[in-house]
Amino acid sequence: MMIRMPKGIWPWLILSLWFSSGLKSNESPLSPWSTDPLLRELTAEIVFYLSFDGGNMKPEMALGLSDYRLTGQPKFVPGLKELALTAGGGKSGYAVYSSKLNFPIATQGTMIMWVCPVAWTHYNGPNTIFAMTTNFSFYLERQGPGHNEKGELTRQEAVLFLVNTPTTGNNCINFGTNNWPSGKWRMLAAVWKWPEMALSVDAGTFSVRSVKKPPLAQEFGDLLVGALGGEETLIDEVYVFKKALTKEELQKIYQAFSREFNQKGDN
Amino acid sequence: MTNKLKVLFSLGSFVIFVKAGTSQVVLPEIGIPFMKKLPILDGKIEESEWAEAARMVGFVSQHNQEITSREAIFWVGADEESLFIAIKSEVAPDGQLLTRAVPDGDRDIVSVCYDESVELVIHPHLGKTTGDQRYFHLICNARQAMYDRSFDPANPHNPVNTAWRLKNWVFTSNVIDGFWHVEIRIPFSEIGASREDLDRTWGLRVCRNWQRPWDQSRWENASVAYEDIPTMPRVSFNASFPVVQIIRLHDQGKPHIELTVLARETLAVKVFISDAWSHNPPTEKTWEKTIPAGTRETFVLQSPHGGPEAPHRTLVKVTSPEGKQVYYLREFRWRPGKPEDRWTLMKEEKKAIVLQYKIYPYYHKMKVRVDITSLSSKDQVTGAVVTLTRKGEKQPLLTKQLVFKGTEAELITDTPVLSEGIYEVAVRLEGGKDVPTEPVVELYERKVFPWEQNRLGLSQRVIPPFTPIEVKGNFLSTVLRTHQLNAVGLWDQVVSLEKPLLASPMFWRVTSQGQSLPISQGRFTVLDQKPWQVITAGSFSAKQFNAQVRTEWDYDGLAKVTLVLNPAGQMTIDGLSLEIPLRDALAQYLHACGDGLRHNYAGKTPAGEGLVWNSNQANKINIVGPFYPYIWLGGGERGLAWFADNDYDWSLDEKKPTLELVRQGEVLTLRVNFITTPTPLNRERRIVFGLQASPVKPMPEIPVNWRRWLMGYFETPKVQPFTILGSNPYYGCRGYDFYPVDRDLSIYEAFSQARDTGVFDKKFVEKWLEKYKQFVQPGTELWTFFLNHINAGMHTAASTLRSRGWLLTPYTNPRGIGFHLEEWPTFQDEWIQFPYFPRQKEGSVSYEICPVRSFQDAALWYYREMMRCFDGIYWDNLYLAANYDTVAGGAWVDEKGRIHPSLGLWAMRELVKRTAVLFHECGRPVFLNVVHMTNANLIPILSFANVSLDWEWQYGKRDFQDRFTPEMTVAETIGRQCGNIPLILAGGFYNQKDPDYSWVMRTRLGVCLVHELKVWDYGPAFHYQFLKKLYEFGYGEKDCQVFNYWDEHFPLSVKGIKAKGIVFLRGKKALAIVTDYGEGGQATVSLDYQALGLTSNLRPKDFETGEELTVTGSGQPSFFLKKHDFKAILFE
Repeated sequence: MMIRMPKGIWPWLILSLWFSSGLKSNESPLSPWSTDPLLRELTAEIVFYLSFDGGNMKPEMALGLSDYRLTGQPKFVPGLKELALTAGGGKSGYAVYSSKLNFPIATQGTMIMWVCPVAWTHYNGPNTIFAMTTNFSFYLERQGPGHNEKGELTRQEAVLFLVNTPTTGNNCINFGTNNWPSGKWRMLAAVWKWPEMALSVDAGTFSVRSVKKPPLAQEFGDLLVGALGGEETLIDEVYVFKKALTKEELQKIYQAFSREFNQKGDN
Repeated sequence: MTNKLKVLFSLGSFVIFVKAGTSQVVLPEIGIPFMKKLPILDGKIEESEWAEAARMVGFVSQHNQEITSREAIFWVGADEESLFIAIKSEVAPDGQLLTRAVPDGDRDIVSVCYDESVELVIHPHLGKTTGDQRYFHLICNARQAMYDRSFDPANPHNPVNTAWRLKNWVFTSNVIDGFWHVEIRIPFSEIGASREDLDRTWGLRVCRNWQRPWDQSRWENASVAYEDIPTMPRVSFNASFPVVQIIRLHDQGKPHIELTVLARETLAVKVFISDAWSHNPPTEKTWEKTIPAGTRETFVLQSPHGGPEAPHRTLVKVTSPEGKQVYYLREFRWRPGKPEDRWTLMKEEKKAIVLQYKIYPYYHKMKVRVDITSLSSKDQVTGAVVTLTRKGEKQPLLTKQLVFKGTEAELITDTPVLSEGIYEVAVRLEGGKDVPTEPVVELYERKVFPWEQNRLGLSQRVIPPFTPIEVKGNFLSTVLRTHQLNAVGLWDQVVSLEKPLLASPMFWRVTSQGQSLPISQGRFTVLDQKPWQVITAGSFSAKQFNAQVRTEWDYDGLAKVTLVLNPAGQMTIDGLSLEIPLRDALAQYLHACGDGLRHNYAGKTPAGEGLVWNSNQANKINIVGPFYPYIWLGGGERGLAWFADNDYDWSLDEKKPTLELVRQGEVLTLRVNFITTPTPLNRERRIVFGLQASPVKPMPEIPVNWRRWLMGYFETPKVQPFTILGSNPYYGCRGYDFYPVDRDLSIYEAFSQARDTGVFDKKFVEKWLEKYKQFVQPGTELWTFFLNHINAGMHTAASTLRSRGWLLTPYTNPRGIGFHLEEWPTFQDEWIQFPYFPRQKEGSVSYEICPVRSFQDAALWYYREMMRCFDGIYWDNLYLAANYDTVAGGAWVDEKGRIHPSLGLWAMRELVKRTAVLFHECGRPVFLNVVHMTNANLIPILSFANVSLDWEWQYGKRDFQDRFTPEMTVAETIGRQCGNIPLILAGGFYNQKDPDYSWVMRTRLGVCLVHELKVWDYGPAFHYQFLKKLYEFGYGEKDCQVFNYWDEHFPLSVKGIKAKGIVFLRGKKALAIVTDYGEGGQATVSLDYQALGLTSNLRPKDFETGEELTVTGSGQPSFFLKKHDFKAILFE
């Protein structure tokens, strides 16, 4: 069972400890971003961050414009820290942000997000988009399963990191989600440093592939986060880094935050 | 007295002992008057506006308690209503302030902590024990995203109020000329400060939070908790106080501590400045002076120094003459110089230089790519130099100049032979002043392995069932086929299994200006002739254009053709095609393969006249342009394949197909278009392709006829049992590895012993598992995975007894590898199919490897070791896949910069062939070499195996007739074209308790029977019971003839249903099996007794039940057959 901080307490903890740099690290549960030297250095690489904790789609961090266009009415529910976004289920919404500076998909970067199945049938279900570009050239999504009337599997369920541009061709990395129970949060990390792209779940083994040629910036649209349709999923703590994080860095993040979120790793 | 003590002593009463930490800290103090002229808060700091505020130079880094080398000045002032603060601080060389946190109403934004920000702690009630005792803390970035709260010591149980928000304050900022200007006004009313509070000393922290790299720098040189009250700098207010401003600490690097004192009214002051560098005695100066009202006096101390890196310790103290009233006090350490790395931006700039490389040990080549797209100074880059140096040595082994096209540069160059060691691949940019000059360096590890350049499987011999190549005149014969060759380097005819496949000779078509040019033929020549290889040549010409055709024949009948188009001056041709006129009757089936699998067409050749098919209709994934690599046309027993690994030196119109099928009456012409766009013949072009007639070899006859090979075992004489270990971990590997964990081959001995004794060695397994603890935690799922696999592997070994003739073959994956493999860092560049690849040491790729020569050498080396306990090799998924490597992989780059991948055809063929030869070299002519080829029956690749595995596809509970058409099965699955035993996967339906299971498995049996397919399965029982009866009938015996429905003159016809059949004839009895592929119904079966030499009075019986079947008036059995069911009818 996940334990959440009462509203308003978590930020205070971070700040009080942030300022208490003379304290020994074992005196309090310090915020990993501020106390771990490696993670602290990584904070300079963050270009976009959605916490949803304000009960809206406003980015908490945006190197570029923070404006966004809304479709539907995004639904927020208790999440990892405070609030999480409901993706899919037909009763939520999504927001579109300027990719410029916020989403360096044409060069190198990492998108990390935590997702949690809510109502996955594991039998028949549509896709749930977690993030994509508006011209469909980038997706981080969960492909819903499909079975025909005879009960035969017609579409595998998986989380997908997909890049499909005229230059790169169609490139997809997937990770099966058949055994993902409801209520269990997972950390997805899509990493790109062209021509390589990688997908990692819970900082586990990278699935890596390489595109035939690095994409061009103009082949990507704006960044969309969230979904109206698809099987209901919670999304929380969406980070975009302008650096292709290493496996070690991802593991550090995962270990630090799965502890903070009272999660157990499931590599 | 030491210098340090001397300085401390001089501080007198200002020394405060701070509990946190061990160092003594001098707290900054200022006394400020109320400003008469208030600054304009427009985010642009003018010195004159802040002339009445205390001025401080530099913030103290929290890392080393020195003034940070990143420049900053800050001012603190007040009027009687507000506190004023200004901060002017350096921004990074890129002029960017890291500002990402976004304000969201009154919500505290924690992320502001990760931005460049200003941080204040204000304590207007310092020392108060009654009334409002609150103090306040806030962080704000340039976007005014904030995090703030108040603390109330009067409320010890709940002192923190996170809901508090500083409102009605002014915060303006701009980045101007490389500095962030921040101007702040905080009304006293917003922080609960009354007029009376101004009579007391306040606490005030002023901080600048930096990023890139991160630093929390502050006024004081204490590194303690920010809310720590005793260590807060002190501020006093008094209208009569002077204004003290530190102007500078150095002048062009030389210590020059300058301050000014502005007296609001005539005032006597004592100014003390002390500065010491390193451990030298301090230089000190004291001034006692009365400053007239409205006058600003300047005080300067110039002191010795030890260069830009020398540490200084400075004390500035301005007091009343007797020292009681402090106007200014700050003690700090600092250095005059600015280190180059004070911003990580230079590191980032270096990271913006993307260096990718590949080193090819077998080819002695290096490929380097440099991308500076993200480099801010990219416009100043004029070139780059790349070097390869053995680590620890100064002299590079090679130095090459790189030339950029736009922001990218790539180079392929020869390298010397690299002995074992670590090498540095370095690139250094050249160009303008802002171009980073530090080289970017990557490391390459060269290890030398014992398997390198071995000759395993390369002995010059002909292995059975192939036969030596024979050449008689222009007739060249290989097993089962005879080719009649001609003078233009093509075939006039090929006879396969005694039937000619060609309707007329193959020919070249050359077109220019819309006209076919007459072709003049050259001369047929045999250039070299050995039993295992023959080289023939021909040539042709058309006007000024001429071409040489050289063919290398392998003993499986593969003709590797190199077409050399010689330069022809100014001549341009529009088209060059190879035309292969086939006898349509023998080309009923078509199998065309692009890259990838499960989308390749296999089935009937499209009907109709004229153009009936072209390769633009066919599926492919990553192939660039209209090139299509593989086509086979034929029947159930014979056919002809054309193929190419890439389209190097072809000249293609993007929209015109490269393969076309044109039917004219009884002739089906395969047209291969090499040039489809006007092409000047101004250079030599070399085009390589292959031709191979099928079948390439007879079906296996040793140790028993292929029909008696069986996956699974039961007590039937002359059955050859075999099984496959379906993944590497079964035999001790960690992943897709050449060898077991720790390269410990003792597990092969243990398996071998188990296969001889039938005993499962549990102790060995327990000991073996100890090795896994280095990379997997016992008790985890992964541990259980390895445990289960090794147990199952050992169990299988103990069950597949050699004494019973079992053949046991292990899974390998020639397209996958684990990065933990010791060979990976050295050879990854040759093996990976991508242009470049990260140098990871963990993880794996599953289907991204191409088994090029060095991979083959490694694989064969360890295949030989595996022969200690195994009887063959299983290769997973030998389909065509795009290989983008331009050195080892055979890819090429066109004039548009597109990489045209090669497809691994030759490499995979060589791997399979070498393995077959290896088994013969080791005296093991009986083997089980399994090619998993789902939907990619690539004859040149599968030719040297002896089992073809298909149908990892269309899983579920459907009837097998609904999964694969009989036409597809003939074109792709039945194994005859390669002389391989056809094996299929079980179909993905394993739940024997499912009520549908038996039926679905029966449909599988029916489909398998009429196509003679073996199944990788161990059930259901009725499947094997049927096979047992079939073997008892004589199936697979020499005297048992088999008639397949794709044969000419098939002696069985079925009316009433849509069905496929098979007939077995042994002596005077026959067995016919009819499998429904339609909707079922009343079936009437006619057997051609006369053709089979049988008497017509045989009584048909149900082979399964023994019951006599109803016959029609003409004696033909008639029965109702359920949809997709089968009936076996025994005629005796």
